Amino acid sequence: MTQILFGDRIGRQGIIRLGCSAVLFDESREKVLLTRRADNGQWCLPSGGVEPGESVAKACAREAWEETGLKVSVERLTSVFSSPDRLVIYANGKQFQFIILNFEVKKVSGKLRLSEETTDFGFYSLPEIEAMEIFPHHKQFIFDTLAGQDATFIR
Amino acid sequence: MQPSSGKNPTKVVYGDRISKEGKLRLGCSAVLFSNDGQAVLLTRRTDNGQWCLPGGMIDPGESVTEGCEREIFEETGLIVRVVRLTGVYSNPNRLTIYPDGNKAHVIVLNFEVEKVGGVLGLSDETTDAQFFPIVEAEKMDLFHGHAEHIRDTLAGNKATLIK
Repeated sequence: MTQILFGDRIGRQGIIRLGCSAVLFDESREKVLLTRRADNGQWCLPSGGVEPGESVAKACAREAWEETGLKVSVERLTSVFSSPDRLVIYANGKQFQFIILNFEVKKVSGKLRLSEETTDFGFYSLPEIEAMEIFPHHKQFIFDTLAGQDATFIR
Repeated sequence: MQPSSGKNPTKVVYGDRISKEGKLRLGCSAVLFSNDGQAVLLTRRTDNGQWCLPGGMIDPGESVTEGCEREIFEETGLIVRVVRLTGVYSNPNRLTIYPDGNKAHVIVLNFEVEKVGGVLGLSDETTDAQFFPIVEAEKMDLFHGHAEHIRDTLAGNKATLIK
């Protein structure tokens, strides 16, 4: 299981890995699409690593497609998360400091479905999200996206 | 000063999805305009003598803004603060090949920065650092992609360009 550790400059123990995540609102723009991870039961935004050979927008759309069955287009970059005080340790022992680009995305087509990486999905309102087990930085991404400002939050 | 010789330059090659051959690396570059906004800070690479924006790789244990501010200080002696993220450049059709043979798909965050202190000087990584009038910089053969970073910063959009 993936482990996440926090500590002063703990990211130094890993290597840099670039990730992306996606905030997709429902039509009312009051609810956000979340999925539940198969590996630890935690709720999160569709997200994953950027791979060599793809642009960051492509990576975000690919991850959203793999995890939700929706084809999405990237609208804007809302946040860059790069806390050096967070270390992700994979089951195979590899250690990473994740730098994550969060995009607001728009649905183009497709139908929501589960994937091998997810056990549940749904659109949730802010009060509902507040009460859920969700990565703190993903919660921040949702707030950042709702703020609706043009400039990217650099965190 | 002349660029030092005998060092293989870093190469950049282009081709359909060619970056697949490399490892993903995250870098940054910085655009610092002079106080009057008419000039831009450039540094000269030691490996091939080419002018470029200051910048480098983000290291584990630092945030992206810390990485950017550290690189600028190391390369120019100036203490800067990140003002905004102007663009993310992730062209998959571009592969960077280092002198040691390592290959990378470099994804670059370009920041506009402002000076808060320091004195413009030299470093091991650069042979020269100085402000060039923007009109002149636009005509120079800058390192791959950097002319685009300057143009995009000059455009002054609030939103970050996603490329």
